[in-house]
Amino acid sequence: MNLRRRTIFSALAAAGALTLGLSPPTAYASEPIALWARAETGSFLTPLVEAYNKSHERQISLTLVPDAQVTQKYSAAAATGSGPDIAIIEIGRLPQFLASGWLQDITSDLAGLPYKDALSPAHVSQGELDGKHYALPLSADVSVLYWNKALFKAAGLAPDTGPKTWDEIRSTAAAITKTGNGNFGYFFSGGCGGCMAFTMLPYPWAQGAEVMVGEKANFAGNKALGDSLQLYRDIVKDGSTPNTAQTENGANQFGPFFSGKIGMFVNGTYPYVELKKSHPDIDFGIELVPSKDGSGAASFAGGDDIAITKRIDKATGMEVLKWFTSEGQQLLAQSGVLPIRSDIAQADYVSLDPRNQVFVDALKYGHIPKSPEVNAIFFDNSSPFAGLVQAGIFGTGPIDAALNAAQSAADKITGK
Amino acid sequence: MTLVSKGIASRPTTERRPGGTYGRVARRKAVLGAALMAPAVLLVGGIFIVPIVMSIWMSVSKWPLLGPHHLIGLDNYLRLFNDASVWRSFAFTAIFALIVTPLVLVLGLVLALIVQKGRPGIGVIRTAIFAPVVVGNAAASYIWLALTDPGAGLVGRLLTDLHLTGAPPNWLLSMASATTLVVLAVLWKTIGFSMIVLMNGLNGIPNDIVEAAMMDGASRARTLWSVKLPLMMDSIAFVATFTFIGALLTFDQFYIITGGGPDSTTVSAVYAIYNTAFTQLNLGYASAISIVFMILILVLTVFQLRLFQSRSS
Repeated sequence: MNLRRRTIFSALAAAGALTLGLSPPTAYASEPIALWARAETGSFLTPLVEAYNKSHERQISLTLVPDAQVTQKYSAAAATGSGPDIAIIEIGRLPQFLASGWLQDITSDLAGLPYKDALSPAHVSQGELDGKHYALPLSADVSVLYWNKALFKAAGLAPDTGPKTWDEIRSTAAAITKTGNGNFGYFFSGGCGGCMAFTMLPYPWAQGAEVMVGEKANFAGNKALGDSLQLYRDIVKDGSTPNTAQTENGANQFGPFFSGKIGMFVNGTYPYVELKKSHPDIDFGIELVPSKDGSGAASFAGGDDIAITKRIDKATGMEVLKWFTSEGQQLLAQSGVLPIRSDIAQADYVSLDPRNQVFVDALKYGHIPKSPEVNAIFFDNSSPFAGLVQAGIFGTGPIDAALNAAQSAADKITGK
Repeated sequence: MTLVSKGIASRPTTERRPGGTYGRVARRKAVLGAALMAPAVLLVGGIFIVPIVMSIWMSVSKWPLLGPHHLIGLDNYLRLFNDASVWRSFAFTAIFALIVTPLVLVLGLVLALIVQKGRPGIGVIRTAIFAPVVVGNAAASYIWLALTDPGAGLVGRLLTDLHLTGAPPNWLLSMASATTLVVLAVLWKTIGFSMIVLMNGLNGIPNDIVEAAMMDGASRARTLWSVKLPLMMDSIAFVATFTFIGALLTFDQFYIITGGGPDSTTVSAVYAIYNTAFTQLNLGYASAISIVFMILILVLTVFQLRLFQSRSS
């Protein structure tokens, strides 16, 4: 009996060892392809995956990871080699995963794509490390300047033309605020580091400045960034923003403009779609965020890239990536979502609404701070950049001192 | 007599044979005892000991969220002792706990005294006060954030309609008002629990002792101070300790309501640990902060329990 028990135990142990130790790390060909993405992408990604599954035998199983858990879940997957076969990663966070060995090198595959030059340059750059590419662009969200035409008219301004210089932005904001009735000229989410990066950094970028140089933040002595903070400080000093601008932490970043009481704000494609769908009474225009004298323009290029992990063979993975960057982009464009390919954008997206051209142009001028530490330096609400926004815009001390303090805080993070 | 003599006769036999029947029984009992204890030992080991040992190991390592890790000795601890932002978060958390704990105790006691006696409708009041306890921290925080939003919140509207403020207040504009908002949210969420525990403490006091004090001429206040409170010291100690530790560990409310602002002035200790681990992706340093914070909580809790023990005795 004892011998029999021992034999059964040994057999079970051997089976367990085989299961744990000898099973292949890659997904089986008959299994669905596991695709992970952040929950925020669900609105356009779910129909895209449904379309893919209709036309392919091997199905995709989509998992939407809650936004607050993305860093933890993706990092755990990257550290252990578990998780998805294909990962859709927000491009701000992408650099932190490039050196982990989680994603497959697709440099030669990218070079062989006939549409490689039409892909959003900022998205392609975010997926590159030491000359090797690990991801392709998937979705884009670019920041542009919105203006409310009714409020422009009420302030005696030409409603069909947005401000072209920083001085015009300031004077327009003041003129709209003067109309009273609870109207304010300009709005921004000053309590949200990520929102401010998305909406304010285009100003220094339009001046030709960079906010990251190599591995380091570039705050101290950054004149263009200092001038941008001064513009915002002046707008606040003029009383052209509601006082909620200082503390708005991203939860209500669109609400004030949607209420029809805000003259201008900088934001991405989401409010554009939402305004057209749910607030047709608000007549608005969009344009690129201008440089100080109007001679240049810039935008923050956000969105997601798509990459193949080492859990799946590259040929299968590339088949998925090629579909998402070709047929998938056409479907997105036709449904009114900005595609990451300029050729498809011109053919299928701009024709839907002439204003769409502004977003297509913004993709060309798109920037994003590239660093594995970007979240800690810019996007988090207690980041050095978030502190810089508070001190630089709402503080009373010299802006140069605020820039120096932010530089010192950022250096502690990059030098850890 | 026969039984006694049998007993006497058998005792030397077992003493001479330690490996005999009694030895086997003792061994079986020991094995059974160990087997019965094993789940608890594994549970405690798995849930408490292993994570603490793991945290200590991580705290003496350079351990990024992604990538290889290696031992670096006490570097993380040395960095911590010079890191003003961490100590600021510790100090802020301590002040927050010192504000919240007495408020929860006093208000909980007042409510317990009000709802202790059975009166018509008292069950509804007890339920209404206790209901927020079952709401999750995150949900409760979002409710408070929405209610106090200066643009669309009901609280701001109410205050302006009652002409108490000229415009809806922006609670998050200063550290003091942002912290006040979180204190109110925590009170709303936890006061029902302390009320129930303290009510149980009050109900556990024998009536004859209270009646004897009243007959001796003690006023209601005097009876409460000199008779009831000392007799319910266990309940008070439980609520105080539970609330104090809970307040020290507050995270969700600050993360959701204030976002650590304005200008990182409302970053609690756990929030700072979270930021270090998942924003700066530095698990090693986050573990060092956790270990130091855990030791501080242990010291404070032991001090607090000693204080209540001495009051109780």
